[in-house]
Parts: sequence; structure tokens; C-alpha cells
Amino acid sequence: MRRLQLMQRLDPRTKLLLVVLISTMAILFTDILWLAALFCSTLLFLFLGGMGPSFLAAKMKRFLFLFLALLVIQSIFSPAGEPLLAVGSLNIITTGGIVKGLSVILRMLVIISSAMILLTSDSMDLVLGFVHLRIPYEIAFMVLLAMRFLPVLEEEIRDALVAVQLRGVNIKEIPLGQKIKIYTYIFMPVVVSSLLKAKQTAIAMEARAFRAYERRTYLKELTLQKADYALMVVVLLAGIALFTIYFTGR
Amino acid sequence: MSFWIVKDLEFTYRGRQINQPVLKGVSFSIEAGETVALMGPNGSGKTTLGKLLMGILEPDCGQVLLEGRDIKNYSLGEIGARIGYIFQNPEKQIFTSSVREEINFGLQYRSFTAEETNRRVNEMLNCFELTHRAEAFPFNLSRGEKQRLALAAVLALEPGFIIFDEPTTGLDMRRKDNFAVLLEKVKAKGTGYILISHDHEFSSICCDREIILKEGNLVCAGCN
Repeated sequence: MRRLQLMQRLDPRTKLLLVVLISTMAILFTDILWLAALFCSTLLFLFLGGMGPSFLAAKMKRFLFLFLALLVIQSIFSPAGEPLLAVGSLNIITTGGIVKGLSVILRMLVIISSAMILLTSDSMDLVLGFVHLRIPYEIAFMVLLAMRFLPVLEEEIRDALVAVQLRGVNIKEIPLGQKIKIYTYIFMPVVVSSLLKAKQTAIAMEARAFRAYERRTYLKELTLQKADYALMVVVLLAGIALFTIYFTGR
Repeated sequence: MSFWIVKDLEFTYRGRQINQPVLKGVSFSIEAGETVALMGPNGSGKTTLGKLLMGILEPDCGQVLLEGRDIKNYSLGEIGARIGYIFQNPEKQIFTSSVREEINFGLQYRSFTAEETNRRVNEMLNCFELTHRAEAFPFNLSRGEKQRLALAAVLALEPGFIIFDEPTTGLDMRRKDNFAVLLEKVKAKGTGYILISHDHEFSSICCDREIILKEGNLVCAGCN
């Protein structure tokens, strides 16, 4: 409970700075060991935010197929080092290719998991955080809406896939060409329902006077605490130090 | 042999803050061609039971036997070929860009001749009074028309049984009457159905018997 409060007490702007810094490092760093260390640090922040290993594993499970595909593709198109699997003179899997593939996977893991740090904040606090960073309220609110709609969209895709199969279509047994066509059919109900939901939400928001007045007040005010300033300074200094060591000291 | 046999069914939705079972030890059977109302107040587990009967969800305990075989051994496609499922929101099962294509959707994956497919599509268009809307974009239809289209698309496949999830929600009296007439047509074809509803008056008119759930428990499996 204590560690949960520790991250939740932080201002969303502090977390935003942390996320921007971590994801920037993930994009610029190419060394696998550095990326692995970055991933471990991100996991530590998530752990402090109350997200345990089982929660993270459940979230990451859906990317497993993508990660495996990335590993193979990287290995094929960036061959280096000793060949582990070759067809004639063509190296399919190489040691260097696997290292590059793992680096790409780690980079993605860092970016995804660092974004999850923001989930330790209340969604309205996050909007307020954006507003304090001089991002227009309309755009901040759109980000919030997008975050709320994602799980709904995921559920609708799943429902559409079930609905297609319940029409007597045995997806596992039909040829690949038809299978691809089936997946294109699934987008119809998902896209239409998303558009309808967006329209309904817009009407509901306007009915509640969204953007009716130029000046907006907020029930809750965000103020940066000492802990926020301290963490921001530590994070910035650590960031500068890491960039310096990585790009000049190696 | 019963069409469905449900034995000691238990189910809990995982990942919710309170892991309270939605269904507790539910057992009953349904014969082929029977018309059954699945009743109960909101949150009693009606839709969950419907999804378990269709194999969309897997039970924690107990068994669902479809034509004597455990439903786990069927693929969703195989179940869909036997049982039609009409979602509460018909938009969830509309996939194509025209009414005609929508009815044709499931038929194209069966080994019917083009003639037979066309015959079935035209028959359904006539039966559900959708001929004049055959080339219309399905999402532009009225709610009643969408519901008729969902029904036509499912009935074109000639399933042995149909599950309707809350079909009367949002329908006015006239449309409810029209829907009751449609159900009569379904019954006349010898197709059984389960009506998931909390509209007691409507269900008692359209169904032979009622299965009543309350807080996940089976209160009655043979009420008339």
C-alpha cells in the first residue's frame, strides 16, 4: 500500500517527464545491455506504482506473437555473426541477428511499459497535467477519451470475431485468402460502432456544455510537491549523465 | 437425447475486483425444437448462461453437452452451424455493405450452389420484408430492420436452434407484436429458440416454458 501511494502521490507532469526521458533513451540507445537496464528500471517504477509482475505479464502477453515475428524478421534481414540456421548460402538465423532482434523487442518493451507509468495516475489528473503543460484542454480531453476507448475497441474486435464464427464460419479450416477476407469483414462493425460512439459522445459532451465558455475552472488543482521537484531534478540529472556516458564515455 | 444438457455449471468473470460467481451449480436440459424463456432480473447471469450455451465462454466447473457432446470439443464455427445467436445489439453481427450480401455472408462458406444460395437469400428477403432494402447499407436501416436482418441472416443458415439475447429491448408495442409474429414463423419451421429476457409478459406468450435465474442460482427450470 505504501509503494502504491508513493507513485500515486506524484504529479502527472513528473511522470510525464519520466516517460518522455525513458522512451527517448529507448529510441536512441542501441546497445542491448543498456536497453535491458532501462527495461529493469522501468519495471521498478511500475512496481512502485503497484503494478505487479502478473499484471505486467498479462498486459505483455498480447504482444508475444509480434515480438517473436520481430525476432525472426530482424534475424533474417540483419544477418551478423555466426549462422545458426542457413538454407544453402542464405543465412536465416544468425547470432548477431538475434541480438538485434532482442534489442528491438527490448526497445518496444521499454516504450510500452514506460507509457504504463501514466496509468498510475487518475485519468482526470492526467488531463489536468496536460493542461498545466499548456496543451489545449480539448486535445488533452481527446487523449483521455482515446485511452478510455481502447479497451472498448479491443472488446468489440473480439466480439466481431466471435460473431463471424457464430455465423458458421470455421476460421481455422478455411483457406488463407478467405481468412484474410474474413478479417476485413470484422472491421465493418468495429469502425461503424466506433464512429457511432464518437458521435454519441460528442453530442453528450456538448449537451453538458463542453467548450461553451472560454475560461474553464477545475474542481481539483494540481500543485507540484517537494517530492516532484526532487524526482524531476534527479531524473533530469540521471538522464544527462546516462546520455553523456552512452555517447561519449564508451 | 436432449439438444442441450447443462450440468452443475459454475462461472466467474476473472479480473474483476470482486470475483463473485455469476452462475452457481446450474443444471437443466433443453429438447430440440423447444421454445424456452431464460428469465431473471438484471445481473442474474442470463446473458452469461447464453454465452456458455454457445461456447463463447468456458465454464469454471460443470459441463455443457450439445447433442450429447461436450461443447468444448466444438469450434465456434461448428456451433454456429448448429445454433444461431442474435446479439442484444444487432449491429454487432452486421459485417457487409449491403442487406443482400449480409444474408449471403454465412451461406458463401457452405457448399451450396449459386442457385440455392440465391434462392435462400431471396426467400429470407421476402420473409422478413426486406426486399425493397436489399441493396441498402445495413447500418442505415432502422433498429427494427436491423433486427429483422440479423434474424434473416441467421435463419438463412437454417440452424437447429436460435438464442435471442434481450430481443425486445428498445422495441415499442407494435414492433414487439411484429417480433412475436416472427417468432411464430421460426417456431412453425420447427426451429427451437431460447429467449433471454426479463419481459415476463412477452416471454410467456412466445415460449413453452421458462428457466428462471436469480443471483446466479437456478430458481426454476420448467415453469410454464
